[in-house]
Amino acid sequence: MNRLLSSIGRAATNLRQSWLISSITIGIISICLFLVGGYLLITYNLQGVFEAWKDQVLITVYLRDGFPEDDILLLQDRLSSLPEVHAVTYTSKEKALEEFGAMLGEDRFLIEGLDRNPLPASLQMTPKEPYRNLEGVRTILAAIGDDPLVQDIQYGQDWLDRLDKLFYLLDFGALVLGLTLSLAAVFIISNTIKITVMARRDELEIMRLVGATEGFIRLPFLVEGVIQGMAGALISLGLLGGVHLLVSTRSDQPLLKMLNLDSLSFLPLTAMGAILLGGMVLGGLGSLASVGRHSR
Amino acid sequence: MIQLFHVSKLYQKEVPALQDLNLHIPKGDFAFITGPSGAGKSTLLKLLFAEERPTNGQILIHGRNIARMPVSRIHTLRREIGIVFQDFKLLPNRNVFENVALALEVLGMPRREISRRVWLMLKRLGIHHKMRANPLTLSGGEQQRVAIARAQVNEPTILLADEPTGGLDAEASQRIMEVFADVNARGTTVVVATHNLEIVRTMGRRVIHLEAGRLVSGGNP
Repeated sequence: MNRLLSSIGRAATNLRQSWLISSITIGIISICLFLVGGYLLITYNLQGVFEAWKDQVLITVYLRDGFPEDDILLLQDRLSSLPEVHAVTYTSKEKALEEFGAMLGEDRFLIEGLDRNPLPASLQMTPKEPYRNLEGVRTILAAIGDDPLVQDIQYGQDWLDRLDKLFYLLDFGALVLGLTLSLAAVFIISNTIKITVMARRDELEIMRLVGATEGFIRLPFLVEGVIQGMAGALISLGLLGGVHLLVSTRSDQPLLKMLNLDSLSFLPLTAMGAILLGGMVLGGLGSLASVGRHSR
Repeated sequence: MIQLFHVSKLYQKEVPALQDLNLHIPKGDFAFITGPSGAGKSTLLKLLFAEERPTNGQILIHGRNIARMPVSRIHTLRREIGIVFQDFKLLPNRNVFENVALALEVLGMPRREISRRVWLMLKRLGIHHKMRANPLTLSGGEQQRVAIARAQVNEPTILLADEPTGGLDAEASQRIMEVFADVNARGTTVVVATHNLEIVRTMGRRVIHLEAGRLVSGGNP
């Protein structure tokens, strides 16, 4: 405990004595983490947009004419009980015509005076969350099987296929971009810290000459790196908060309209914690690695 | 006690810095290592404080074979040896007091005890009035005395000095030698590498002479 306290004291002295280079290190760490955090903020908000798209996945089962409503309700019950299905709504022939008429508005006269209702009754099925994709929909189709009541099933195959590919591309792109940004941050931060260690190589040499243990030499550098990383992370979170506030309080909000969002979310607590922890780990490891390179 | 048995050091295959060196420096001895540039004086000192490892041979310091000492134990050897260099190696971002205190801080000594010992050591060497000064503002002789204070404050049994009077005038050099004689009189083994033959002659101590990495004379006391 005494050793840790003494190391914190020495780290604080070192930070004070080399305030300029420490400020530069903290600045660079905050810029790197700001970029990583900005990327997380954008993907986090886009994820909400894409999830909303997934909510629109709908399977419409068109039914043959001439079957009694009891048979239809039985089919509705059967489909509702499927484990992949969230809800099934029944639209009768009459209701379908009524809705179509409402949609036509002023052109409603087009369907008035028809000798028979041409629109089929249908069941609209909403899949549960994990099945709101092409594969999930196919599982549900297989479960419906052959039924004499079913005339046709539509689920926007092309749209769903494209949505699946888009999700894959976004996941893959997010992973590659995230990794690249993080690696660049690690590289830049460790090299910046290396400069601070290089500036104190005489001190390292003398400490070794007077019989300091490696632990004694490294601990203050570790503490210093962690403090710098933490300061950089806090500044980057502050900057992200500022940018978020600036964008989300703009009166015209073209960005929100474009993305069809009510408001921009800030990073969740876990992501903020990860940035803070990431900064501290990067600072600490960067320091240790740089001191290690100046070992005997 | 320092003992070397058949010690050789090769930096490159063709150029041996030291060849088959046998040496015995008993406890409390005062010895100069002399020789022209490239004779191997600095290499010999580096082997003694384990900055370099011998290519062949054994080096015993107080009976411990440091040629085989693991890197993780070298700090224990360095705590028994004080080292002084021609360029002083003082930290410009610490004052005189803090430079000397560094040697005790690494031992984890309480701050109060550090202050007491550093003060006494600076007083002994006559530079206590400059303890708050930046070392860069001191003369060469004063800087070397601060370096000796740092090397002596933890009371090591051996003091090694590599060209300690290299950048000093004759008067300052003489004063530094008087400090070494005082350190030696208190029981510390002192080994000084120098090519200042005037100093060596004046002091009248044991001389270990090297040429081209070989021991020419003074291998035994």
